[in-house]
Amino acid sequence: MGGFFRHMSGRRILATAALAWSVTVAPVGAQQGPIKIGVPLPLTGALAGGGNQILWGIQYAAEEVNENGGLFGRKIELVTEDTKGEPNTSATVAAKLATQDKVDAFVGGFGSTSDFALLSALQRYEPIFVHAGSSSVRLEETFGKNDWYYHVYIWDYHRQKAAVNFFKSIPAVKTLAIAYEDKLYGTDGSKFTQQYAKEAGIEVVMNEPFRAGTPDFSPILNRAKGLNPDVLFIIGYSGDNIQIARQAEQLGAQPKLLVTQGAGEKRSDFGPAGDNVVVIDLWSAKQSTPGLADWVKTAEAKRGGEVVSSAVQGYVAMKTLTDAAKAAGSWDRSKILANLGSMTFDTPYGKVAYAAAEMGGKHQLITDKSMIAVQYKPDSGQEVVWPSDKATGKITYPAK
Amino acid sequence: MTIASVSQAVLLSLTIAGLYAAVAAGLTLTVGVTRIINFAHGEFVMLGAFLTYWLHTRYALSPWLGMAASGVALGLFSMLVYRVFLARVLKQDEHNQLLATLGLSILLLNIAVILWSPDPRVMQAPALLPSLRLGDVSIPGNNFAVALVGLTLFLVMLWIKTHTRYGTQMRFASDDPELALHAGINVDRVFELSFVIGGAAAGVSGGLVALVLYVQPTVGVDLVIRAFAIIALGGLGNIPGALVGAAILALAEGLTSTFVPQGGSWGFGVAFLLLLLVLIVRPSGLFGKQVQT
Repeated sequence: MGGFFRHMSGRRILATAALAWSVTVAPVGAQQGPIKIGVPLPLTGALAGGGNQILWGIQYAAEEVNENGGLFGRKIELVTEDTKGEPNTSATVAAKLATQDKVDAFVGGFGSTSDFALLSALQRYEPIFVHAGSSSVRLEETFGKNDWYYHVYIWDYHRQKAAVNFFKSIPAVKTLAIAYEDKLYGTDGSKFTQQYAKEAGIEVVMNEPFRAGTPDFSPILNRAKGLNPDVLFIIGYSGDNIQIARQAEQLGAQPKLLVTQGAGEKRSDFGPAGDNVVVIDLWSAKQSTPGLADWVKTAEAKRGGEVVSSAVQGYVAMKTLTDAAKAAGSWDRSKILANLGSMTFDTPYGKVAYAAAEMGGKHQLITDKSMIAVQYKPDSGQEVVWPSDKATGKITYPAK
Repeated sequence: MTIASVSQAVLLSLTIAGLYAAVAAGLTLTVGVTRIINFAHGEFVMLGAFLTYWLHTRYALSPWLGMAASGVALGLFSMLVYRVFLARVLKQDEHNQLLATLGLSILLLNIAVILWSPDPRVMQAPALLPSLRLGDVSIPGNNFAVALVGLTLFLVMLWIKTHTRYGTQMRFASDDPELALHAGINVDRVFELSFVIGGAAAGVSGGLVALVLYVQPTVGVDLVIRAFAIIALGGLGNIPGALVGAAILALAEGLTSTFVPQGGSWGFGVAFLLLLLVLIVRPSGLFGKQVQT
């Protein structure tokens, strides 16, 4: 080879080298094509609201990478499929993405029941799967131990642990009344809340179920009024949370503090009935986290409106994958999985890392430690009131 | 259990009965006359709720006027549905009719989710009537409004059926459509009219839903299940029977939820257990015509 170059001028050597580089290096990316990421999400049906928010977050994170030249010169291509939140459709979508589209990794999933079917169908392929949504402990117990499975969103018990830790932070809180929707979500929530409250020395004076969507919460409110607990904690869906706050105001049955688990409702939905209501949530654009204000500003400009918590879940799921891939230097499955498990990621939640969870999950990103309590203020605003390192204001207690 | 707590539970349950009665009012007329089991009635209620919500939120229209506008809009929508869709299905097998309205229900629900998202919306309207406060008993003004409108809708349905020419034709056509046809009654037109009136009632009920509940694509699903239970309890097509059925259902649900431990889960079930017992003893419902075999 040295002899071949000896007969060439410097310019020709450079030209030949450039040509060789262009043939051997640059087209590698082009020949390999884009990195395909499968995005299975419920985009229609009852779970479509959250599914579309998560999708936006994933798209935003992918756009950020592509606008900066992609990953090792390769663009990210999202292959989005609608699971409709249905188990059968989810299983079909999983098989299509894995075998027909041959995606390089998965980011998405939302809705525990349908995601159980999705992951069951996928586990034989052992893909890199970064799970943006779903919180059923059954998923953690079944899939959490796999090396290829990474879970961003909290598990059910993290919410309750955060809620009880918040109650503990208010010295006057000694008694707790729980009202929960009577299906899996609420029943599990009630079970974990009672367990953690007992450990924290808080007495549970009421534990009443309700049917989601019921038009009349007066039985629960009147019972709670008679018991006068320090906190009335609602484990329900967004409509229930709004309705119970509204009826408490109409019936003059406001407890000392009404606390709900955030389920996608907005401050404006509550109107005056929301004054001083506390919502246990995953994330707030207002929380005190270094660098968050700038991120929110840019993201909201891109979004053309408010960026909500579920959109952040999608963004963070995609970002952890692309950061891990970038650090690997090439699309090397083993290296990416190792990086996902060992790196610390700078996200809108702050600096977070995947770690083992309580019920067998090996790679859990967000836990009760990331969660916050937001109190709706009478001026229609809201403040993060817990934990102290993320707080932007002080809690009003008792609220009535 | 105190006198105040029982009074509160009974009064609130009766106002909730007004909401159930309003949803059941149109359905009992439609089912009674055309025998079409309209599963999409709950989605008509949902559309009425969305319309009342938007008219109030975007144009500051009073909920009273919003309810009336929803009634008119859903009446017209029902006419369209009947002419384009149901008039053809009516000529087919009963199972096809069931599947057709079930399909329409699912279609409307999914369109609503796609267009408006599943998020609940709340109409922040002022109380339409003054609240009642007597010692520890408190009934919000909007609950009175719901009871009032529910009762009015029933009286209107009853008046149409018993005091108008169309009402006479409706009864005739529902008893024996072929005989009514021979008697010169335009049965198709009578069926259409009953479906339109039922749709209009659903629209007004939607306004009530927006007033005391929240607006969401799935909001009509549970309500229509209750409405079917109410008309079965009262007797198919029997309007006063349905009013009594609504009160029984709401009281069973409300009192169980209030006074039985863990009653929030039992309330809905107890109401339907009651329905099953009534149907075992009287298959035609409390006020339905007994059929001799």
